[in-house]
Amino acid sequence: MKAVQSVDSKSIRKMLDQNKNTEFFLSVCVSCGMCADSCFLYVNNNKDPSYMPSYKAVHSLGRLYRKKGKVSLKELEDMKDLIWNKCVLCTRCYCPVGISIPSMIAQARSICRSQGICREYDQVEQPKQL
Amino acid sequence: MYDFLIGPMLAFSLVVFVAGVWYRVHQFFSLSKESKIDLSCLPKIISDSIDNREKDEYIRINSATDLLLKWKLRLKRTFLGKHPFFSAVTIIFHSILILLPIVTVGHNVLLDDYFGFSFPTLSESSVDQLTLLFIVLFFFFFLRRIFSARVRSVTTYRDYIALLATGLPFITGYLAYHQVFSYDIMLYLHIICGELMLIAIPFTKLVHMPFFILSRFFIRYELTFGSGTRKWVENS
Repeated sequence: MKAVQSVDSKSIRKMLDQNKNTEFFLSVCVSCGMCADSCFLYVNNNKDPSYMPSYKAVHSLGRLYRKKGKVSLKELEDMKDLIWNKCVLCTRCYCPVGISIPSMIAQARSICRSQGICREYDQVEQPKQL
Repeated sequence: MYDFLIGPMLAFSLVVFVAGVWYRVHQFFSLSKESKIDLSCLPKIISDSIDNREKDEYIRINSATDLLLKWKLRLKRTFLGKHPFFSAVTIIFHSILILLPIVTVGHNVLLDDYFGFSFPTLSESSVDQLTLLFIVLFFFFFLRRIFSARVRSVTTYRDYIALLATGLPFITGYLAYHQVFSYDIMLYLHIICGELMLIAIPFTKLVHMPFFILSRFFIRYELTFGSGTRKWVENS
């Protein structure tokens, strides 16, 4: 049984303010979509846009910045799938403008972890149909 | 109205543009720090491979075919080799965007009036054709943002603002030159849109103009032009 959790927006805000360069990266990202082909997960999952490096960063850390940390537990749960299951932090993604995408995903992971949301290794995964 | 737009308003937008870009450059340097790689501290094999990569000696060149292969492999590591069409489109788009306003006759006449110097100019018909090409490429980017699934999935209203801020000065300039609708109104709109673009550069996603140069030349990573000597500060 899961313990009832609540999101501490203040601490999320504090963590967001600590790392200024990821905020800078998000303000610079031109959403050109050129990082897509550098992600092997994107290439091997029928080019599903949700595997795109910029998608993962914009819809996790970007959302946290947009909402200034005021997110619900469900939103953090949704991010979990994006930043753990859809990214392995291999750091092979490239950006034509020079943004470091893995550092944004790593920060989103830290924030989720600080709220008690992290990857569950003991869950039973359904086998993928190939 | 005209005198105000090309006088105080132009001065204001130029000041905001220069000050904003200076602020962004300052922000870049405060978020990154100098960090040179000490090759002597690395294990022998890694330091050798870094050395080789710097000299690009992975391929021993004995013939012209090797030379072609080397360039083919070099290009394959870049966007030019991976997406030749999109690379060509984006290079032409950005080159016209930056160079065309500088070589337009009308702009140089103003520059000569104010500061007593001017840049070389292109003939009006060439500028006209290049503007048309730019507008076509602008619509290519616009439609790509709407119809390409991967781009659409990360697009926000801020991306459209940045795209419109770059496209509108060229579209209004083209319409003014061809005297579509009222010439005066189109000219005013052209000047206002151009000034708004200058103001928008440091504060919207157009900030990638200075940031692209800074990050690709100064930050050390695999796509750096030359050898970058800086890296991002992890916790500022």
